[in-house]
Amino acid sequence: MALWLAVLGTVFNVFLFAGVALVQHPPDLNWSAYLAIHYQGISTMMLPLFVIILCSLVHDLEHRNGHWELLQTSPVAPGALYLSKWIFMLQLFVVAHIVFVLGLLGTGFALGWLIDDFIALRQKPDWSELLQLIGLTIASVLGILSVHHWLSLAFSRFIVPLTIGILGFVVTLLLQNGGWDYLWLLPYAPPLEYVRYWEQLPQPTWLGVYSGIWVSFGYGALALIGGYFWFLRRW
Amino acid sequence: MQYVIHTESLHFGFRKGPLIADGLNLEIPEGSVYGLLGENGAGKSTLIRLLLGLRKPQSGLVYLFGKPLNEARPLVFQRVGLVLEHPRAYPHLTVRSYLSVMATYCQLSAVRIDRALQDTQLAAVAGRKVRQLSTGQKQRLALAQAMMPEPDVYLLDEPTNGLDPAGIALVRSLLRRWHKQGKTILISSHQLSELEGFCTHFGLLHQGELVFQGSREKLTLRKQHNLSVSLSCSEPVKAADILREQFWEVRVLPNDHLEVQIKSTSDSSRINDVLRAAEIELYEMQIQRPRLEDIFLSLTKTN
Repeated sequence: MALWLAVLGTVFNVFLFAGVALVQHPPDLNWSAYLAIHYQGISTMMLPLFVIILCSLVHDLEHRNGHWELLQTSPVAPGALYLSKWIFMLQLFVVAHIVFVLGLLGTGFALGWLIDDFIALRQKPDWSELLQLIGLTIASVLGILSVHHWLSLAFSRFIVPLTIGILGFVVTLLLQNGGWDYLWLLPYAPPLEYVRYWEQLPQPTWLGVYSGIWVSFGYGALALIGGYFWFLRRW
Repeated sequence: MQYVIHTESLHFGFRKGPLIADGLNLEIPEGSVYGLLGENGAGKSTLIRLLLGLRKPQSGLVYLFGKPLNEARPLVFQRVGLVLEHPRAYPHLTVRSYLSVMATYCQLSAVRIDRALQDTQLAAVAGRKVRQLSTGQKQRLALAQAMMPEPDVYLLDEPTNGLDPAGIALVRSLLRRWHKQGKTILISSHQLSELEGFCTHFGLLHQGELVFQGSREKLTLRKQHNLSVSLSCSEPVKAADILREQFWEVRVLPNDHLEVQIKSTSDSSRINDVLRAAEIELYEMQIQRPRLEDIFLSLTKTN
């Protein structure tokens, strides 16, 4: 189910935002603007929720079938089990994102060739900009991924981490709309905030990178380690 | 004696539930088929979970192959085949792909998967999704998974639950084969008659204590202590009085049969002589050996 969510959800996103570009029909739509429509769309609407649901679904498979007991009595070290789950979820996210990027490139070129107004999309996109966005997207969700890896392990009922995640996401959105200065300190903020450079808004940076990305790394590392020690309590 | 699994003063109880282990010293000898018996809710499944570290004891230690569990795990689980009470498997996978996933954990080759499918008669449904299996087939899948690594010890919690007679026969044949191969087997059941035939050792769990633990021979000795004869004769009331005078404990059953407690089988011929001397005609006499259920009931009653 997590795999279907990753692939079908992503294909849905691609067509949704390609449709948004068509409806908005901005003059001089170039690759940078087309990327902005897609990335701003997923970052504010889909990205945190997607990771939250993904984590809950992957862990629910083990909880629902009481499969943790079999994993705990397998000859595999707990660290390997714990980390492999995290890597599996990251892999799913990366696969989904690759599908997303391929989809947006495909729809972008298709729009360029089909609609004369979008002639700029017949050119090559700025690959470095795209690569930067891919890197930032993956980095921005590491915090949520680790936090929800832990939460989904801790709560065997699917609905609990999902509710915490949705609440966290909604509160972050409200604080974002309220213009809170320290929004970048929240784990759910980086995916909402990192694409704002298109809007030329001042962002806190560290070593030239939006501070929220470092916060995402921080949350990612702390929650991954904390979650591991929590996980070890079962052993 | 070498114990494959043993515990030292194991203590575990649920906060608002029954006491499962009250200083329990479980001893499962190498190569034995150990029947863990107890009524429903006695804590057999919880005890097995304690042995595997799935539950933490409040005090006491569990040893697997002579090593404390905490030191031996997780590698020791390469040598343990496990069937838990309710079979668990990923429902969206096919039988073969599920076993492949589990084989990966133990780094086993595909040959082992084929062999396990054959031995559990699941080869015909290898391509079927787990969610489409019947309860009995799921139970056999759990057995297939347990036997794949060819472990030295099997821990089987109610392995015949949900199985039809053919399935039960299959489990029995597997148990016999594993026993012949020298494997150690711990099998729990609340159906005592199911285990009586092939267990070499027994442990009777009742209110957190093992009210009996030992070999089949030790249990047989206990059986000898609880012998009785059932007889029917021409004058049951008179016969009962005469036998009581000879210091036998006699009970008149509703069908006018007599039940006489005896110390050994030779007592039956003495009873015959006493009744013949009193000119009472003896129609039928049968020595009653207590079943496992009777011993279990008598032991739990005294405890």
